[in-house]
Amino acid sequence: MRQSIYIIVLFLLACGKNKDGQEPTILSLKEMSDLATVEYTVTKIIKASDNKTWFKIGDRKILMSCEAHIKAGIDMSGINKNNFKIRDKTIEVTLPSPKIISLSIPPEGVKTEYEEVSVFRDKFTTRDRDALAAQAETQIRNSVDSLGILLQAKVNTSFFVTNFLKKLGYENISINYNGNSFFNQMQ
Amino acid sequence: MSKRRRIVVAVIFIIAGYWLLQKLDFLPSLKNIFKAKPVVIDETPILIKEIKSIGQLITFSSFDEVVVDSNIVTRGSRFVNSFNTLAPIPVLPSADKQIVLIGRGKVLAGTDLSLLTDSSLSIRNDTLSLFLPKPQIFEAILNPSDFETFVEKGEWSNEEVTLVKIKARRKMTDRALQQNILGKAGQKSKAIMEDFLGNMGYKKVLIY
Repeated sequence: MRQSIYIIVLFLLACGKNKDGQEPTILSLKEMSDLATVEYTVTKIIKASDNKTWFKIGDRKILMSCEAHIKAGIDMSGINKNNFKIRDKTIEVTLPSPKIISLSIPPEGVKTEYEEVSVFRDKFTTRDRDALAAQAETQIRNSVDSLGILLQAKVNTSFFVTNFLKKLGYENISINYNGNSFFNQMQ
Repeated sequence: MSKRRRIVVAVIFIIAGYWLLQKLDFLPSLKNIFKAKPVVIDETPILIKEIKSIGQLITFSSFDEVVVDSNIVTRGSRFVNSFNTLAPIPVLPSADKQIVLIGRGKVLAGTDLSLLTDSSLSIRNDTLSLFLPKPQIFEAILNPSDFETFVEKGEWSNEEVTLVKIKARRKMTDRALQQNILGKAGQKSKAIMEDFLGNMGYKKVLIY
């Protein structure tokens, strides 16, 4: 009987979750080949009320604002000889699809606009404020597609590459993305 | 089956049943009853403030981890400190405001191709010469999720913490510069442009 109890207890302990599964980050210099052609500056209000915990008397509210910078463009490492079709002064370039290159929320872009803390509660700490700003960061990251930044990156990259090719003497320039004609410049 | 044995089996079944119901989320966990609920922010709209055309060829990034700290002497802590200096041994614990932050972020470097002018390019026969602008640090990214508060003593305002975070960003940039990120970024920019122009069919490409 005692043995079966031990087995059940061991089984329950073995079923526990391992919470130390964080992957170590590799810190180093890394090569990149990204051409960033558009930068969006976006703002967001961070609104939170801490009143959901039943044993804490009183609530606390905070209103913060944050400013983020998002850069998008293309990865130039994917361009090779097959991406160019040249005949005299006519050139057709196929570029890789645009992607988000970076999202930055600088520390000075996060501001506390309003804070209300009742007598029995502690003020918001740096850790609390960072956790709220991190949630805003995730929301911005998840909403990037709806901002139209990738489409704008296509427009800007086409414009940028066209201007560069004009400097090289090309007159008829056509820019494609993944085989789809996106931007044609005829002169 | 003896009475004692039946009680033990019943207890085991109750524990196993409770554990199973809890795993299936039918019952709240006992340990979570006194756990504070996480503060979740409301869904608010994202407003586009500015759209800027840029031409940054980002060729190197440096991932780094920095530790920064700051101490602020308050009125109360000044009194404590002066009392401690008068005493033969420090009697009272220091009441200075203290913060220690760990920041994990990245520094992006490369060449700003929007600075290219008509005179930056010249073609003579089958030789193309391109004068690239000097490499530069585009930005050092340390987002709110990249920071960990290791120590926080006293009340720190957002503005005071911002200054400490800016210090972390500067430290990260300095360390990237010490690793010669600009030299490496410049070399890589040259290699990318050489490949790009070479793929276009230019037989001799000179990048300066």
